[in-house]
Amino acid sequence: MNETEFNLHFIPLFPLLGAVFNLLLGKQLLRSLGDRLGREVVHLVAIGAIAFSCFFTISAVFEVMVGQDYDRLVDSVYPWIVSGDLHIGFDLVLDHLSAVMCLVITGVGLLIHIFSVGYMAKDPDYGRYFAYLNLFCAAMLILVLGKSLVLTFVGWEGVGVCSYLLIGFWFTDDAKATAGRKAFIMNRVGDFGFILGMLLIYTVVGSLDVDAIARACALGEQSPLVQKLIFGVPIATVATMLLFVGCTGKSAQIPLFTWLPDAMAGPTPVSALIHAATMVTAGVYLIVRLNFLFALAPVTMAVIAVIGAATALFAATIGITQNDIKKVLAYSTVSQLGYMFLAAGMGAWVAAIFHLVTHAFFKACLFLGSGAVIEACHHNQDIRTMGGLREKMPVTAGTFFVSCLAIAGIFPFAGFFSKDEILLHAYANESRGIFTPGGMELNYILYSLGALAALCTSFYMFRLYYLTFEGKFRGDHHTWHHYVREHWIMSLPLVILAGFAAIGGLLGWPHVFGGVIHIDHVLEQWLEPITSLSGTYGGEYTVGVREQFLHEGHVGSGMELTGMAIGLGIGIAGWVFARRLYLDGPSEQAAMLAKRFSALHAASSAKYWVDEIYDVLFVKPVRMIGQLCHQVGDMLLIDGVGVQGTAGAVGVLGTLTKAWHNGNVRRYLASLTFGVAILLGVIYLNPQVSRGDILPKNAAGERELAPDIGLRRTFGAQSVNMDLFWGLFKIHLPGKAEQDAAARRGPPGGEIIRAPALEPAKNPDGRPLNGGAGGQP
Amino acid sequence: MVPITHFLYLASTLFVIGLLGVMLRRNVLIVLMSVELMLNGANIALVAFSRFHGNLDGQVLAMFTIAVAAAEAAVGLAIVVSIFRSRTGSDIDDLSLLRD
Amino acid sequence: MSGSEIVFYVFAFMAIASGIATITRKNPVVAAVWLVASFFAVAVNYVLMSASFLAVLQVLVYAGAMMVLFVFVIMVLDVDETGAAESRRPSRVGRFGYYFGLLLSGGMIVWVLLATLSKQFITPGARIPPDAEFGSANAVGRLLFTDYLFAFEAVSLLLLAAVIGAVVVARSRREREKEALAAGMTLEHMHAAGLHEHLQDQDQHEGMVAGPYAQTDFGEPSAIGHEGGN
Repeated sequence: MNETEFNLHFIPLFPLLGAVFNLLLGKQLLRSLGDRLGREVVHLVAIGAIAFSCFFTISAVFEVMVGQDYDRLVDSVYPWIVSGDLHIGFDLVLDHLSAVMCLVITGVGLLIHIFSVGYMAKDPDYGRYFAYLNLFCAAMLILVLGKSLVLTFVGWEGVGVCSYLLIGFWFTDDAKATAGRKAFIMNRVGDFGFILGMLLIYTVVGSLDVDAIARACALGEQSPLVQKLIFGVPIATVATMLLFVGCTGKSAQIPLFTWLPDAMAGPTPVSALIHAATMVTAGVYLIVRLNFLFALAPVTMAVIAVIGAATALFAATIGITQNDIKKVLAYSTVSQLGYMFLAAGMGAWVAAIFHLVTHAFFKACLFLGSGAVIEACHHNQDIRTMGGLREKMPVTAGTFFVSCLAIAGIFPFAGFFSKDEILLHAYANESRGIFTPGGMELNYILYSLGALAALCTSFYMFRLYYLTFEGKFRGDHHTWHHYVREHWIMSLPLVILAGFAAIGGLLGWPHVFGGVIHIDHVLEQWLEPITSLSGTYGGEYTVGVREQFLHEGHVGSGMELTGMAIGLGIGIAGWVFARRLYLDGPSEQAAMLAKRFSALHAASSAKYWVDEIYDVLFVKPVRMIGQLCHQVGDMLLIDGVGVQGTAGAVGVLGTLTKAWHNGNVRRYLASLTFGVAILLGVIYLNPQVSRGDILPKNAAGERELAPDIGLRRTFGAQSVNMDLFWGLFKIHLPGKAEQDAAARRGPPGGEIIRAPALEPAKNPDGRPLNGGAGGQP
Repeated sequence: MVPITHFLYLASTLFVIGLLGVMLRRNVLIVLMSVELMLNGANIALVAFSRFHGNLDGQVLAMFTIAVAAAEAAVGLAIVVSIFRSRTGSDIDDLSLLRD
Repeated sequence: MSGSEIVFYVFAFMAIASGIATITRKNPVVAAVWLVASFFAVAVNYVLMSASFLAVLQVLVYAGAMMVLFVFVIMVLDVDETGAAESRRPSRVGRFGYYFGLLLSGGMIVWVLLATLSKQFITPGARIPPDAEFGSANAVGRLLFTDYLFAFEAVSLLLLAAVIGAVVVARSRREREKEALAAGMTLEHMHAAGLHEHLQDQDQHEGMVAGPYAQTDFGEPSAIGHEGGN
């Protein structure tokens, strides 16, 4: 593996500087430069920062990594934590995986920054918004570039904080502030797992550097991570489970997914950037980054796959009945993330990253489109009161439609390729006989779940599209006539993202098509250095290689083509179904269906009461504990005994001693004398002192009367480096002073000016102070 | 030959006389004079040890003490002057503002 | 009893007696004169300890300059020379402070004597016979300007600060007002700066009470009336 040094720290540095600039000056700029010019400066700085980061990444990836054929670029910025044996450097690494992530983050991030200019144009907190957005990009880039898990964790927490800040961006609305808190707290639950997982790995590997973990894992079954057990389970399994808990928090998987729909309280571009394209995919990134470790834990992998598939279907069924345009997209995001985890759990690392990338494109486009719709409808988000908007905003409708095609998996849009690859893996990976519920192989169950979720996805996406853009407008007259016109600054990112959503599939052109139009599976080749880390293990732990087998003919091309046909059929079926029910607004058939399956419909639209269940199970008990701590710990112990008790005690003592402080100087002096007298008494009436035991002995073994307390050392010139000072007096003080000064300056050759050495104090007549004259006269 | 201890008796006696003056007298001027007495006592002890060790450091330090005493007297008298201007008496017990 | 011993005992007694006289005289002028006597006696003791230069300094600086300063201030301020105020008004500290101070001081004397009389201090005379140079201006000056140069400079700075401080603190209100007028301040300015009050009744308070000072206010003006001494 050839690697080279590169100034990677510029990638996160510039968004960071942009954030600092806007945080410090944003408000001031708007005030002093005027609204128009101030906003110009604010967003130009923010966009410039992320654009620089983007172009820097592009040049690093394409010119250095591709052009000069380096596998990795590394940057040791500085030794960050050095404590005993623990050395954690602030090291960044741009390898094939983080290159993909960086391109997505900076590219999509740049487009969303541009879109935000239009979306936030009227917001008074313009500077703060762009500062948070920049800060998020910096944290996310640190997350993906971090060479050690600790640094990744820093980014992980950083994006969590930014997510919290941006969800609660309009914090004067209590519901939005609450949504921010909810996201943060649920993320903290996951982060706790992340920390425990890291610590567990550290106990075995002794380092949290990803390379070191990879080396420890390279032994396969002989690795200490597998050999060492904790509660009878290999450490690798426990650690990966804990890390996966962190992933479920950050990436909104069962059971920690409920924060993501609430996170839609934030501005819509934030939802596009953080809660669709980048931050929520951090969990997937982490698993793929540590694929060699997860490959050693087949149980964890199975759990991940099951959770992923379950989340995909669960969220998709909720998405069907939601009426808030952003809520639909939010559940769609949860569902698509489930797909990614399904792929990761199957060891299909490439498929997971592939879907991550395509999902970033089309989901960002969908969110931004919904943002444009919300803006046009004066911040109304209910799709029941929309309809026919295509007439008013053709560009948004077109891009939204393309993205719907992509997410529904219609050929040849991006989602078709990535989703089919995942489903194919789910079907083909038949070797894991860990869970066989009902005698069925796990992979068939996973495939069924995934396919069903795909059907739901296609249905609710086209339902969303038709209810929003087709048919007649169902809102009030005023909105229809005073809608906000499309502006190029919001349309441009939409068009670009839709373009990527359309052609993104070329990144992962299936091998089975190779005969027809030969394009390599670019992403698979690109990620090969990463995925091969887990591909070299033998035996049962072979996970990563199977993916390659898949494309080298081990899965029959007939099977692959069949899978694709089924996927396409599912997508089209959902589309047609939605079109029939919702082309002209909610039809009577839809209402009838809802009535027929009223129990299911109610459950779905109530989001399966998960929030309510959590409320009873966790929130209420925690609140009660908090109340208890507040009453007993805070009010009684800390406030009552601690603070007020201390104050009361001081007050009582004060009234007692106040009489002494009468301002009479002589009284003070008498007290002082009393104290001195006591001290003297303690010293001189102490038998040890009166015998003279503590006095030092001289050369003759007698006690010295008074030790040489070194007056000259304390008060004299030796305590201060006087070389400069001496220079001034050299001319006026001939004789001894000059000699002394010369002696202090050292030999003529010496360049370093030393502090004068403590030579033994001598009498003016040259005799030593204490030596020699010990006898009494 | 006078033993050093006798010089030390002299020093401590002078010091204690000065201390008594500071504690017992209420006239600010006499209090200041008593402080000078105390400093003299300390000086005698310094010079006595200097002589005892055949080491001139003590004498130099005594000289510094004299200088500091001069500074103290100058500032102290200046304060006395301004107290006299703002008040009629020179009773140190009237100056109890340290309390507030 | 050798000559030096006789000299020591005579002048030690003189120093102590003069010191006691200093702190017992009611009249500050008399006390100052006794203090001068004590300083002279101490200077003689310095000579006995071969500190001839220091003895000269003692006479020049202490007995000369500082005592002149004391006497000068006493004269200028026209203080109560009989000490009647001190004996007439009961001490605020009361009898307690008096006896407490005496007790403590007596205790301290006992302790210090005990300490000095304890056996490790019983060492007759100096161990090192001094040479002719010991304590001379030459030897002391050499040490002062070499090893102690830094401390010497620091002390000179301290003296400078003391001189300036003394001038600033002791400056009278009228001088300050004159300076302010010379600097072109109008009466309004002075009023604003708190200088103008009592300008007109300055004469009758001259040397005694001059109202609240901006810088040297040692008490609230209301306290002056009922505590007036003479």
